[in-house]
Amino acid sequence: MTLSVSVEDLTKAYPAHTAVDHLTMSVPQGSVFGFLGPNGAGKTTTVRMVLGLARPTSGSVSVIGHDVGSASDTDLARLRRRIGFLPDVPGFYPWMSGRDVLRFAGSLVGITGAGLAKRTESLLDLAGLSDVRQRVGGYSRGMKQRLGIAQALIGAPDLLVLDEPTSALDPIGRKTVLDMVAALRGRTTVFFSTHILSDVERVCDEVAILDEGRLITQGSVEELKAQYGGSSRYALDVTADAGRLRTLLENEPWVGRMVDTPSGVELTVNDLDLARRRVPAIVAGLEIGLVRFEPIETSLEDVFVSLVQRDA
Amino acid sequence: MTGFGPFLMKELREISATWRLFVLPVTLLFCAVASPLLALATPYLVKSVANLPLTLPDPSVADAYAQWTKNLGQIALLVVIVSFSSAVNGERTSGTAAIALSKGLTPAAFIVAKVTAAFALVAVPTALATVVMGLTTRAVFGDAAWGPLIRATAAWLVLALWCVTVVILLSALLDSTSATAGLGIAAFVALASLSGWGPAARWSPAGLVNAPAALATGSETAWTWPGLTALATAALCVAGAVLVMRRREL
Repeated sequence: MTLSVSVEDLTKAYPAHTAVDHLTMSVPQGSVFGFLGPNGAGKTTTVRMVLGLARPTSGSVSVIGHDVGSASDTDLARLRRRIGFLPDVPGFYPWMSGRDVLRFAGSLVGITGAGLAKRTESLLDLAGLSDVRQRVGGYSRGMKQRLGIAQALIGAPDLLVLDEPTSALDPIGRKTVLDMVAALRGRTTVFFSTHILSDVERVCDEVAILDEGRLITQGSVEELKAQYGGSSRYALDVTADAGRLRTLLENEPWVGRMVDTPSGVELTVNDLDLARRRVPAIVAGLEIGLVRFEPIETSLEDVFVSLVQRDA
Repeated sequence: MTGFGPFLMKELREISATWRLFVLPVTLLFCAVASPLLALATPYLVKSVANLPLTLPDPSVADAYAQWTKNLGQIALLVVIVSFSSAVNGERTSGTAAIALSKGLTPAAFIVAKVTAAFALVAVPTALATVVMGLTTRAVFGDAAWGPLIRATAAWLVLALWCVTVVILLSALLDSTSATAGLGIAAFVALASLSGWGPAARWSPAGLVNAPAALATGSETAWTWPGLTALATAALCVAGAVLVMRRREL
């Protein structure tokens, strides 16, 4: 498997705390890679080390086959031209227009002339900023975020590093960004750092979960769900009398934890065979209708919460 | 020096798009127009304020030139120091440096482009203001020699460019713009204090502090060594700023 980013035993220690602690992970080429962790987990510090904007205390980072730590300024500059980067809080010159920002970014990565003009207009269109005439200083946070993604894409990068790209966006802006990221699958590698689980579940193929600077796990979304989610949670919905149903279920030996829902309960099943025999009998005994008794699909959130809590 | 051209263009455009276009050039042009007029009015002002039957010499071209170098050495130099105090740390704290460097701009190109644009912003208005100063002096006092004016202003320009590089080094080292401006002013005050000590005045940039005033009067003041040492230390400041930029994390 060809890797776009390979991180080996990476540590970043500050006098007061260790932001990244012996992190080892790999980002497959062409994947949309979710880099997931709660706030303060060390995601942004890792991103900065991947880009060579911060130096590791120990360990190494290889990006598109180049060792970032040992690269000269010129080699690092050449490598960075192949990377698109959106910081968590993108900084722009307030006196520039959106068009100016993209032209400036394009000229830095070596695009000039008609090619730059064409790419600028196409990305402004993609970001929904074609008709915006005001200076960037007057942009909303969402507009800046969309412009940030556009500038990150200006050089048609081999690796796109997005640090919390959707955190400042409204639902429509978020959908736009996630659609853009999904559309890049297979064309470029996307390193998508976020704490928003639903975004990762929606667009990412592969996920690494980070907590307190340490890697908890890495794998495909489906692998993680299968490995850590289990399938013992069931939804039991009935037509009426959910309260009496719950009282009866409390005495059943195969029932674990229960949570009320508007039309029944969510419950953990310890013995599925027994549950399959007893549920219809209990419901029939109450003379109510059975709407559904089916497993609840494990979400990435379930996996994340269980892993982070277990780690704590 | 990857990315030097585009970043220099950005710097030059920034000068024209922001307040920086106006502050230093307007200050210099104000000094150019005001210096001869102030020299002309000074005897009358002194007489009216002192209210005594004083006999003061008639104002001359030398007085106008002296006033010009005094204004350059005080007002204009202060504006130069304050203008560039956010050159590097402003970009670092706003996040614009991180984006520019992540696009392949090297730290050396970043700093050298900053210094080049700053030199242009100081040198071009200084040249224009010198012409305005010469013409205004001629208009007020009649015939006036250009030589002393040009030599005096050239010596000040070297001092101003030296200050620019010191401020850019401080701006790379410190995160606070006001601390940068404060230390820049302190560096200039220290240099001015050193100018009273003979060896420092002869062999170091301190000699440039009083050189403009002396040259404006037509005195034969040797400022070759102060000029050369100023250029050498300015180059060291630029190299230091590049080194700091390479080492500091963004």
